[in-house]
Amino acid sequence: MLDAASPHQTAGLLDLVLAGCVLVGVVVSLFGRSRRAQAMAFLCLGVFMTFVWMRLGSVDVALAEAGIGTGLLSALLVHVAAGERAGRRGGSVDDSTTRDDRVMRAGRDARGSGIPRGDRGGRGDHGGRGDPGGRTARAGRAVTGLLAGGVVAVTAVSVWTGARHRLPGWEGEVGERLPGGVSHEVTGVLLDFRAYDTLLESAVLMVAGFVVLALGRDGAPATGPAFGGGGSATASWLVRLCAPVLLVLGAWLLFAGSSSPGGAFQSGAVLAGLLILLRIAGVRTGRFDAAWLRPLLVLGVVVFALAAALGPLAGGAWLSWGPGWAFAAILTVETCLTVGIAAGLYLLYLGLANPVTARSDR
Amino acid sequence: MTVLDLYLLLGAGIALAGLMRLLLVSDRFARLIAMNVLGVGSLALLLALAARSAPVDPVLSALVITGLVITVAFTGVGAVLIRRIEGEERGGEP
Repeated sequence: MLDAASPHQTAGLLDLVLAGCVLVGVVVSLFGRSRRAQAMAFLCLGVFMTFVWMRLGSVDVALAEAGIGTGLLSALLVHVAAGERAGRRGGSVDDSTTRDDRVMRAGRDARGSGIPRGDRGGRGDHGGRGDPGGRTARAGRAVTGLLAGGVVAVTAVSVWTGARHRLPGWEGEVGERLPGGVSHEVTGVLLDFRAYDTLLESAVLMVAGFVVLALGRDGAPATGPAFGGGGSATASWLVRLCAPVLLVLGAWLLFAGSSSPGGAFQSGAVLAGLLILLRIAGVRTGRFDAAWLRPLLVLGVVVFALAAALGPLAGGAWLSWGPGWAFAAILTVETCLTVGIAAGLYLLYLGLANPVTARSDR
Repeated sequence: MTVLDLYLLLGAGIALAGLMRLLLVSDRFARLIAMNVLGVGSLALLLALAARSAPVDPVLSALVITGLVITVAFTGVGAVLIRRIEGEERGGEP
């Protein structure tokens, strides 16, 4: 198990190996030859980053990274990368389609292999779009690149060299403003000290869910069979066996959040992962998806906004919890947020299945 | 070099590599991955800064968790858009 390091001790072999793994993950995910390689490398990068977060001593962030970053994000990216091939295979019945696909693939490989657009001379011969700009565009690109690179390099270096000398000045205030009933600081910060941020953040996820719904066919999430036609019987059996365990894990993360690492986001990610696994395993979730996802999507934000309005009614400020009912309010908000986050994350995944289904129906 | 230095440097390096790739590549999927790598780098910077105080700074940790959720939101929308655009391109060509 990785123990948290004191940040001021000398970096040991473990840190160097971990940093090396992270760098390899970054290089492959940025410069991988195919989309699949990039997606898989990003998945591995997420696993390494989870270890880095634990090494830096933040179990909360490690849990969130493992659930949201590695689990869901990579599920989305792998889905796009893998679906790319499946879609191409599905479209290659007709000969002309195959030829077009090959040209498109050649163009995409050229684009994916890191060659700047201006240096790809031969692409116009394949019937692709002409080079949009000449020398002006190239000069503009160089100037933009140099400017952006300079700004980022200066910022990064100044952070690296100067930041250690100044600790943030909010230590005292955070301690004073933590609500009663919640002893874990990160949860307290998320739901009280920075509650406004958390409200808007869950709203961002909700809006992402709206966008996915709007882009889908008929404004509804995909309810057809799962991508790939379901897994093997063994995988399906294993998922059904693990589903109750994952459900309990999600609920435990939610309730543990008040006193130890955990909370709405980690729990929501586990629950969304459970839904995705069930769908992949071929469990019929169509009725639940059609009837419940949309109300559940808005539930978290609506309840959070209503709870925020309780403060002014009790004579306090917007988004402030009274000491008597802080725990109850925070628990209610957290539970509804978890449900909303799980629905939002699951919708993002469902949205990916939809366009392909629409295309292959023809 | 202390642990803090190592991870600050690593975070800055990841963010720079991601940004560079984001600006230079034109494949949509590679851009999406590059944006994510850029995000990972900036989160590493933030959390390394949070680890300076003995219990990790809760405000910065909460900020990192917020960042992770926003990342998955924009990646999901980006992935769906990529799927839509490339589905149209594939179906639209005669």
